[in-house]
Amino acid sequence: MLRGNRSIDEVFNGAPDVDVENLEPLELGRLSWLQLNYELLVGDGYRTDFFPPGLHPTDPVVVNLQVWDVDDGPAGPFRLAQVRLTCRAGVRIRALQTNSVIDGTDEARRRLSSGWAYRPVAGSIDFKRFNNRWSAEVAVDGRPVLKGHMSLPQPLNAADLQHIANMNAGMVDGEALLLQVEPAITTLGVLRGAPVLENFDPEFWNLGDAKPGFPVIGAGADLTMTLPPVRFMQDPVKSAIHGTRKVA
Amino acid sequence: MEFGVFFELSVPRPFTRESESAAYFDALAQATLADELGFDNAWVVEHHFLEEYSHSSAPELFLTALAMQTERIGLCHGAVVCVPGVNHPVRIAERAAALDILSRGRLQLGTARSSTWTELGGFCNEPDITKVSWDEYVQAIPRMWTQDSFSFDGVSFRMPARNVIPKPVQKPHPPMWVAVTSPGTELEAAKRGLGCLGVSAQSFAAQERTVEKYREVIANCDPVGEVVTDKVHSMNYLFCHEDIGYASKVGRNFINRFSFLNTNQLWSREVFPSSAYRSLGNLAPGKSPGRSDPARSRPEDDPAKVKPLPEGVTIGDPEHIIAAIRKWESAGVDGINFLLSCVDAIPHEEVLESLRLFAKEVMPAFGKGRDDLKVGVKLEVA
Repeated sequence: MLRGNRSIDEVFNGAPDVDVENLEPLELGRLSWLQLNYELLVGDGYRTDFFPPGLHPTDPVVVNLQVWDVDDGPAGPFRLAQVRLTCRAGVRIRALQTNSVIDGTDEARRRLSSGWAYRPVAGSIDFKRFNNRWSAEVAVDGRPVLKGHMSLPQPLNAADLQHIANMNAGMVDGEALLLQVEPAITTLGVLRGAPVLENFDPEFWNLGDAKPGFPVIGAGADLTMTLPPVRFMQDPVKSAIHGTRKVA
Repeated sequence: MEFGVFFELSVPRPFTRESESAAYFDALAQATLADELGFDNAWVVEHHFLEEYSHSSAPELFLTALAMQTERIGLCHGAVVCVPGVNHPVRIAERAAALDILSRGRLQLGTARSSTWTELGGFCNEPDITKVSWDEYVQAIPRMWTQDSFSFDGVSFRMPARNVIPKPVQKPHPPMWVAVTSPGTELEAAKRGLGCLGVSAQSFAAQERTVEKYREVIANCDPVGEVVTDKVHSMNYLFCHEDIGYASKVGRNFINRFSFLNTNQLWSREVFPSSAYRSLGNLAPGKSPGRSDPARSRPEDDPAKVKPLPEGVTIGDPEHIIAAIRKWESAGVDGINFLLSCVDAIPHEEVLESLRLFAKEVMPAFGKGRDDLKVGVKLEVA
């Protein structure tokens, strides 16, 4: 089974300090959720180059371009855009976050960062739902980093959508650890459509010379989400079997 | 009870032309020995792009080679992927019939629809179509084998009237099976009069329920062809060794390697929401018992947890293996197909020895195997 070979320094560059011991659940309430999936088109490297040794790339690696539009909640309304790469911790499907952008309150940014190791850069996220498309446009300091939409959405059953837990790089008491972030989600409705990517900045999303390649599918959902306290953390250089710790 | 051998043709990294060749020729030698020892069937899977796990993308060629060097073992082609971008149904019928001729009527045809994005995406197939295409294929293929003029106007394919040739040797046509990885697929097999080819690990109790439901439904089936294959086969891991401690150690590594390699691939369900793949494939990662609605629940999902060994694993000394097979027999299973190794978990020579010991010590307990190997073998087993 292939293992990642990206250096820990690169994976944890800019990783936030996290306090997982005294974490209260963050109830985000009802939100709109959009995900555009593409197979990762690797440049000169190999798919192992994007993961620390503790994670295993899937074959192929799929890039999740994901946007949340949170109406309200204890941290106020906000929008989050994140890019993730599919992988496995042990045999279980996970997605490693490579970067994220937040458009919302400082409180939302602080809580996502210090509790669940999201490391959102402040930016602007435009998110719109139309009958013929759901679209998102993300910019940081006026620089567009992501623009895309799901075209001609058609309804599916809620159970048809599988949510994948994040692996987020965080510093816990000074130690570099991968946090398994498992939002508790109730999917209320799901739509599916073709993904269309108009702009993507691989450098900003920490993908080097790789980029989204072959389109897989787009999905949009109405759902409720709570971020519960982190249950599991993984040593990034050890396999999940040997390197997973339960949070007390 | 039928005994079969089951080949994925896994290849260890780093891949070389030599290591791929070795995987093929080792498997051929193992299957040839299985024929000599009295095994009933040799199953060869069809997979595409599944690095390490399975390099068996042209099983009909492997089976043709096997047909040329064996005399009696059943040549089980499958499961063939019944999806348009991967195989046209006419090509399946043609190849299978040719193989039936060349093997003098030893072909059995397994069918499947694939469950990985690795494969479906590789052929630009949308997962939604696979249930429909599988249904159309399994209904069409027996007709192609038996009718002089066949035409079809379906969703997954259409064709004007043609005589699909050659016709198979077996009359009216070879037995057909369905690879069953998800609960409920056994009923789809039964409704159509198809054999149930289990390819995932099940508990005894679950297997007993599967068999019971299958028998109920197939008794009133609407067969897709002119042959009803009323059989339930399960898959198991085989390593037979006199030293049970050694067998357990080697066998555990074998099972772990297989389980991990199986998850290199990306399941369709994980990236492509579709009602066609609500239930995950065999040995699915992250699947939790009792998780009825994955959209709502937050299951126990500890990545450090290793799956316990499935019940009734046929790894151990002959006595242990006989006892395990007896339990599968009591659960109503008609046959067991054995995976013999995974990548290089068990060296080729040890696989051959395992097969020989199984034939000598285990098969006679079930009235199987070659008569000359039964001489002097103790049949009394606790």
